[in-house]
Amino acid sequence: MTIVPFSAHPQRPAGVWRPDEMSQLLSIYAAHEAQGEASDWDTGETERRDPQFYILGAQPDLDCLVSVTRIGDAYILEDGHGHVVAEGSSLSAIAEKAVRMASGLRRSFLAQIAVGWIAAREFFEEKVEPLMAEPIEAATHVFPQLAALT
Amino acid sequence: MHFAKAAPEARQLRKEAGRWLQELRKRAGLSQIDLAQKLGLKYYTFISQIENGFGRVPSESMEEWARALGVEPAEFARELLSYYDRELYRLLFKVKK
Repeated sequence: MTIVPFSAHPQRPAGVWRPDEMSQLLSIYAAHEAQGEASDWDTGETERRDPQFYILGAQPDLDCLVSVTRIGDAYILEDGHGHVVAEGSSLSAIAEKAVRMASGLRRSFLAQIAVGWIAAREFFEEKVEPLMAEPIEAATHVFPQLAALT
Repeated sequence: MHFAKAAPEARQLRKEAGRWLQELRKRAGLSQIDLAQKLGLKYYTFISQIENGFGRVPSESMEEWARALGVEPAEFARELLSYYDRELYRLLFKVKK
């Protein structure tokens, strides 16, 4: 098997999660904690300084249940046995899959909130943020539609 | 009589196991990527997870790990057991507390 080494993203410091990434990762932890599976979380990094996030199970062993690693522009979601569950460039999509890994079909209220929050955040990042970044372009899209309504 | 390890001790032992594995890997002249390749893993992330003390080498792949690191499998498994389950290790190998 050939392992392709990824090159680090120039704008992202190695070995460190950004605050927006951390908040999504903590939402995964919240979902697993709500299911009574997780009791702690921690972070680390690979030899190549790729940041890792670990969700730890019950005491006393605190086995890793879920891990997320960022390698270059890709996020890797693994279970505690090193099986790759998902990989891709969208942390929101990875987080959603990680939340679904929380056991049991009956999702707790908190887990549902976490899924909703991830979906809302993804919507904001993909649809609303670009509009806010380019208000003039947005205006050209919105004003003709408003004019058509009146 | 106590039935469970104290959590901080279990965590500490896992970290020590990770450091021991990292030392073995470096002694074998392997990077995490090299070891992942030898073990047929798609990514080297699981190796990092174990070396950081957040996971354990699965029993079913201990032999493979040992061979990849150039260590005798029984000795490798015995050493890992001393970190992963100290009580069982003590009973099996009659080690004094």
